[in-house]
Amino acid sequence: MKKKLVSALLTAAMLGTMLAGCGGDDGSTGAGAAGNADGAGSSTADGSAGTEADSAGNAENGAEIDFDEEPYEVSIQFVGLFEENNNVANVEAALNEITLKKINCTVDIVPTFIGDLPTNTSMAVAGGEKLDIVTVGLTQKMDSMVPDGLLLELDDLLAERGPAVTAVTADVAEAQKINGVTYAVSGYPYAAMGSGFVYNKTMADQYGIELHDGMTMEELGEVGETLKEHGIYLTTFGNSYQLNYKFANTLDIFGDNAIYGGLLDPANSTVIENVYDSEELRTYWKSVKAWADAGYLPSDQLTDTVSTQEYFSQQKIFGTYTGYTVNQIAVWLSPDFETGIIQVDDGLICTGTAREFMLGIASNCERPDKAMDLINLIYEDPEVCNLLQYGVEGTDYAAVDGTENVITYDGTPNADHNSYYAGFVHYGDPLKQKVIAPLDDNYYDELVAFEESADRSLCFGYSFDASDYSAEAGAISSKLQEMLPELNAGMVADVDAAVDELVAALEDVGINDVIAANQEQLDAYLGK
Amino acid sequence: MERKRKKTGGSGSFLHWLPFYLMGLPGIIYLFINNYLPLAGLQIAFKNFNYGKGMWKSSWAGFKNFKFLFKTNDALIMIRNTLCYNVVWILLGMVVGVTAAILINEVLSKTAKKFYQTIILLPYLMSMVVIAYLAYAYLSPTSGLFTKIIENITGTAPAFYQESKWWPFILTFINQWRGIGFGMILYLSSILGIDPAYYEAARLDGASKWQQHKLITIPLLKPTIIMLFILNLGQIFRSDFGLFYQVPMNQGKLFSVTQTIDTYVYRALLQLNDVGMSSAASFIQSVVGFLFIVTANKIVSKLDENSALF
Repeated sequence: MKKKLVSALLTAAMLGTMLAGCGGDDGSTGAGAAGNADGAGSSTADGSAGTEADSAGNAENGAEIDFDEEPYEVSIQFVGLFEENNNVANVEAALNEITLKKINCTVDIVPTFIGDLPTNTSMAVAGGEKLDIVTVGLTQKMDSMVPDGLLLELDDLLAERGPAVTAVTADVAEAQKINGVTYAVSGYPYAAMGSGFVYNKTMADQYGIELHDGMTMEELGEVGETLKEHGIYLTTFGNSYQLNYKFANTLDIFGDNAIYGGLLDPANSTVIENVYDSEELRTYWKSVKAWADAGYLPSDQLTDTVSTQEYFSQQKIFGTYTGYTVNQIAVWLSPDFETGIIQVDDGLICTGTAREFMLGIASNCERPDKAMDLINLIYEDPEVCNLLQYGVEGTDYAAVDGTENVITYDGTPNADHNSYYAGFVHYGDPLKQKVIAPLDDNYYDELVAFEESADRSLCFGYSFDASDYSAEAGAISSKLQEMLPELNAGMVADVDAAVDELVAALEDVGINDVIAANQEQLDAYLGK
Repeated sequence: MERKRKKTGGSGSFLHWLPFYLMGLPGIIYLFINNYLPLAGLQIAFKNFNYGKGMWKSSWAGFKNFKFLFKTNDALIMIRNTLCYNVVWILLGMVVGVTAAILINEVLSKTAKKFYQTIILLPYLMSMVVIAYLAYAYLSPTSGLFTKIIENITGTAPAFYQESKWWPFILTFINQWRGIGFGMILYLSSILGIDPAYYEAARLDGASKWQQHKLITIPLLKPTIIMLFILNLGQIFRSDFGLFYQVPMNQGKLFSVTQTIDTYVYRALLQLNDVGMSSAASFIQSVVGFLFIVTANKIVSKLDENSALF
């Protein structure tokens, strides 16, 4: 009897395991075929829009909206520093007033801590939790989300219900695709990114320091000498195993710390090389070592757990290398001092930058048609995109007098970003979005001009399918974490010897094989 | 009489034990949900896991997910580190735990005994992040207490976070300091179960304290020691991630002595986010742990059948 009881329990347990499914689907979500060619098409066809007699045409987005059906609630990830957001309910209410009238849906904003983004997304899809619009980019890259089956194919949905999206993102459409299929749309289609140096302008004025665009590391070193006399560090690199911003945005490194190699001259050459074996990087690291030896950098960078951002806001460092875009300064603003930024290298448009901020539809989305309706409305309606981006005027931000589109957090309950604050995401058409002071109404012209001035990588739109090289990629990534921080911090005895050692280690774990495969795929892509 | 016993339920019948089965049911259900249901997930290690398709419908990948663990020469280093630290710590933990338990048991004052127990157990309850900062307060290159003391004595400040030679000792010390309290409680509970009459008889025969512990305490602790030893062997291919990642402040220069299987998996997959590959690593750790337990138990059962776990 005992044996029978045990076997019965075992059977029940195994049955339970099978039924639990762990993310399995039977098409009940209407998005079951995500990741294959059938997904989006069938899902769209299932949508009731356009089939009811009482449907109303939406002249602007070209799709039929059924206003007789129960409004569908579209949930959208809102990535930030917190799992909670104080003013989400008011923003949702303001959005719903518009969305109910225009696309017959309501909006559920789902605050998501940036550190939990990949886990939350994958668990939601695997567990069949309600999730419609997901953030693609940041800490969860499209390249890995597609083979993981997290994203729905969007081409049919875009054609039927996304004219505004298609129009705004036309220039980066190639970067939205993998193997010719669109899986996400750019949240910031002005993809030019250069490298810059953000600095404490108040401090610069105090010590008579003048910075200008295109400053070399030698020139910045002279600034470091002045700062040293006043007991201020020029910058800090921390315990970082990432390729520094000085390089990350001027090379095409395929978005992954150059573990698959990179293009050193992306506007003119399609030859993929081992970036870590380049003369440019050796020269850069020698300059960093010179800064470290001269005492311009904290001596305990490698063990100090204070982030560069915190150091900067606490005024313990003068500045830091950062990505450069027209609005990058907004990320570094401080209530305690004035911030300045210089551009040190030209802008570049590459796949990685175009994929940094994107919106996609989760593969378990129940109503992809409604999700696309909302995405389209975000690109089409300035009020919707600004509500999502900045919250409610008066509570979350205030308009700056004498300007048309400039806002500020100062003097509002959101001055310390404790209210509705989208620090990591971009929604909609940048030309319809408000801008944060000290940017001004000229921002829009400057944005377009910067985009036009930037080089375009010859392999724009291409991404490496690394699925056959994941073992090598893991080993390369581990080696970089072991050996790069010391080089980045300028704390090696001999730069050339350290670089030789790094390159040998990377070759040992197969970086040349990965680069060869990457080159082969790129050549095939360009040959199409 | 025989028929009656069958009907009413004798001590061997199912009905007789039914109330006990029912009492144990919540525990059994818990065990199945947490320990047996997830076993089906072992297949993820052999699949190209796709969240949209789910575990059962994802395609098979053979042993592809296991390759990354053995891709580098570091495979030997991380396996060596994982195994060697664990072997030393299991043996050392046994000695230190038994010694601490005996010493605490010798304290006569109940208040003092509870005080010491609490103090010794306290580190076990601390987060490894807190412990990492405690260690940093002693070892920091600019303001660490030990760094400054050694600098004042020798004239040179040791760069603890840049020199790997210190870390086998630092990690061993922190591991034992943190774990001694928990190990001690397990051994102390067994010591408290020993009949005082044994010690009384030994004292009457003129046995010294050392002889009492050598001839009574340790032999009677043997089943507990063996049980904990075998159970610890099940974890021999795993490591305390916080200890090896947080405490050395993730310093690349120390990887030769701080890289273990768990830290390597984390570092290798940090950017790849590949659930299949991480499952493969965990699968190997579980299999090796299982083999160690079965082998150790077999050896123990050959030597002393009563001390074996199963």
